[in-house]
Amino acid sequence: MRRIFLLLLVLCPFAAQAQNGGSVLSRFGIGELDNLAGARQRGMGYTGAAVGSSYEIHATNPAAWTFLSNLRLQASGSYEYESSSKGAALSYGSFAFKSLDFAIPFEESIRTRLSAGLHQLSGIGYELNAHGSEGGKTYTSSYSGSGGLAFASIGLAVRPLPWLNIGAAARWYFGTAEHEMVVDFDDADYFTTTQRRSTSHGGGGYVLGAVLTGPDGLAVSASVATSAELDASRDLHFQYATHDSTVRGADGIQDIPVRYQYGLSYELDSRLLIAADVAIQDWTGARVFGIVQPALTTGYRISAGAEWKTGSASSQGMLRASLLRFGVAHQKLSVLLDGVAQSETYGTVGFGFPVWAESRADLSLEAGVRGASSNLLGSRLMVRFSFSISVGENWFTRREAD
Amino acid sequence: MPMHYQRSFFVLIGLLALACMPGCRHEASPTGIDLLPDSDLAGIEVYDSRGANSDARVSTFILPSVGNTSTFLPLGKTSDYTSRILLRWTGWPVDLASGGRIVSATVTLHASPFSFGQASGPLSFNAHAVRKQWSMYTFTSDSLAALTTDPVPAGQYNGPVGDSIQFQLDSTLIRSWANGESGGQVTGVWGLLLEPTGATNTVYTFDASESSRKPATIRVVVARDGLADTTLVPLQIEDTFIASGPAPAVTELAVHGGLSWRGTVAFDLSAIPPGCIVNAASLRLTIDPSRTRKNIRGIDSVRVYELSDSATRSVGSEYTISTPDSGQRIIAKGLAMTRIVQRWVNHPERNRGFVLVKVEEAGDLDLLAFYGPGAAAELRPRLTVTFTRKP
Repeated sequence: MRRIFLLLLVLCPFAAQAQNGGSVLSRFGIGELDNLAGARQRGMGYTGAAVGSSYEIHATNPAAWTFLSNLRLQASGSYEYESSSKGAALSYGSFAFKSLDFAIPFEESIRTRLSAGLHQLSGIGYELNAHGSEGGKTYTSSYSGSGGLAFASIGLAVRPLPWLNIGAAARWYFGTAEHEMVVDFDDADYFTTTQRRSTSHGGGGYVLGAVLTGPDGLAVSASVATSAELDASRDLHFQYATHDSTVRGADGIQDIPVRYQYGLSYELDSRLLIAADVAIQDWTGARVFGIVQPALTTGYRISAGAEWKTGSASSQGMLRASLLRFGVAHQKLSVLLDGVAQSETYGTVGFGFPVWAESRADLSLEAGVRGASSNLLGSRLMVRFSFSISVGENWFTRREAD
Repeated sequence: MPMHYQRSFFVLIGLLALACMPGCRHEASPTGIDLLPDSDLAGIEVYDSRGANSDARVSTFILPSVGNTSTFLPLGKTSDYTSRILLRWTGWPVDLASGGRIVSATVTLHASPFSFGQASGPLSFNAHAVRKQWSMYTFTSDSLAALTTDPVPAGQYNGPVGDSIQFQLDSTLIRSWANGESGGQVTGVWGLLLEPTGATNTVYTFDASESSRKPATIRVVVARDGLADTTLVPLQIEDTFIASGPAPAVTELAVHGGLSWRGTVAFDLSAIPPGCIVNAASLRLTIDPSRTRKNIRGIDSVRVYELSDSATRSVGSEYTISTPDSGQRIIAKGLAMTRIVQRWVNHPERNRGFVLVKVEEAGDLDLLAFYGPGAAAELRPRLTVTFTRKP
């Protein structure tokens, strides 16, 4: 077990550098925003903010941590594939570690839980090229982006009343956005242009949440991630024929607007749970390095899903504790494509099962369509495969012999 | 959970991860490039001194240079030029200093195929003993004034030039020469200066020690009592030439081999914003055939350097050799040009212009003249710079 813990700890740096995002959309804002969900929520169509889980550490609602039953270490990752109707050249696939979380149950009378983690917030990943000529010389210009933002968080959750769970966490946003331009002339006598712009970000914010559990398996939740002003500093790197030069650009502000998420869940019976979520974040006035970008707009997601326990009380083995999930979601992206809003609609399936002792794994598969064939990028098929693993230990639980 | 389930889970995750890795790819595509902000896009521009109405500033100056790299030695004179040769043999055989009677000392010069002036005219010169130390590696065209020679020649030549010419040297000079070297003297004989004289109206060229052909030789025949005559030759030779000729006009743009004329051409590059990335730079010059004199080799090429110090006229270490462009035009381009112009763009105060140096500057007597800013627009010096603007 300790080895698994160490393995997950090794994943920490990867979680901080994780990135998806494969189209020019990731050029804008802070990159393509991550949905901040593990494989369990993804399998239910990104619902679950109001679903208390004994093993899943929520990224967007710290109040849900009170449901954790023991010490947890959780990691998640995702493989994303996008294929455009405009041709194979617009297709891409990328793998990224998404998060790494750690939660400790401190106290049981009000179920005090402490949690810390690393999460991907956005990913930048695009490659574009074009051909041109100047002065009779032809050249190929290439534009690429990489990097993205992540955040480290630490927070506390308590259950002051049997039906009220509240939580708060502080976040530190950080990360670097890299944008590179290369101009390669067909004439070998011409020196290749390479310019790179690196923007580093740093700044704090908070997330507050509550989960209210009602009678008959009903639960509602609300969480808000406060807006944040990140300090951004820019380095410009130029490759000259004589030398390489890195100059410090101007400092600026990167806004992360407030994000709201609301959830609702209801246990129809002991084996079936349904849930619905809404998340919204208005990027319209957000400053990117001090400038409001017209390409940014309000993004939201509406989703619904269900979770079904495959086994009954009389079932044996793995089947007894396994879960099947289904969901649908529709989201509007926070980036306009040539002034046109982009939406994505998809269906999801998921499977959760115990791995050993207190540890569980979740897998999910999403398939959907983004954009429309009339768009500049065409209609894109989106497929995401995600996994989460949550390792449980009872380090802080008093044993009976004691 | 049974152990084999755990193993299966990790094997499954591992296989999925492996399957995903090859798919982590991006293929560049032009689709979507229109969405990039203008500030992201490459701003490729061309500065053209002609279009920018930025005429060049030109001048020509003389910078004394060493002639040791010449592969042949011009000797003779015309109405405009005079060229002298310095010869010095070292490593004389010990026998020469130890005794015997010097029967003869014959100097042979092997002709090269180049000459100018009166076709097949006679060559006449005196050979004066040099009394001051010199070296082909440091002797420059302005060192002649400080050279000390015997006023009375030790040998003479007057006649036609075929494949080679020969002349005799005074045996006393040879004895003194050899004795001086064996005695470690430094104030003895330091070779010969061949000074053209008389009615010579032709400059001939002879093979130099730097060539792979036949450098000048000296053969000394020594007679000893009761023995057959012995022919002795020294082991090594140093040689160079010193030419004088017309002086340049400061306002013209020209280079001259053998006379160390160098040209400068400068452009105002303030139209290129500092910090831009220079992709390429090319300098085009048009040869003025009416002023050009292809006396010897006729090479239409220059080395283009950066003028690094206006006071000393010193040049940078990088250079580009021009190549023919079209018609009478030559072009200098390539990475060295790009680097030079890049330095000027980043540091405008260092833009002192280019220095043009004749290819074979130390090895011929050709004049290569170019049209200056006063010529027709298409004939003027022209600098074009392709650069990328900073975002």
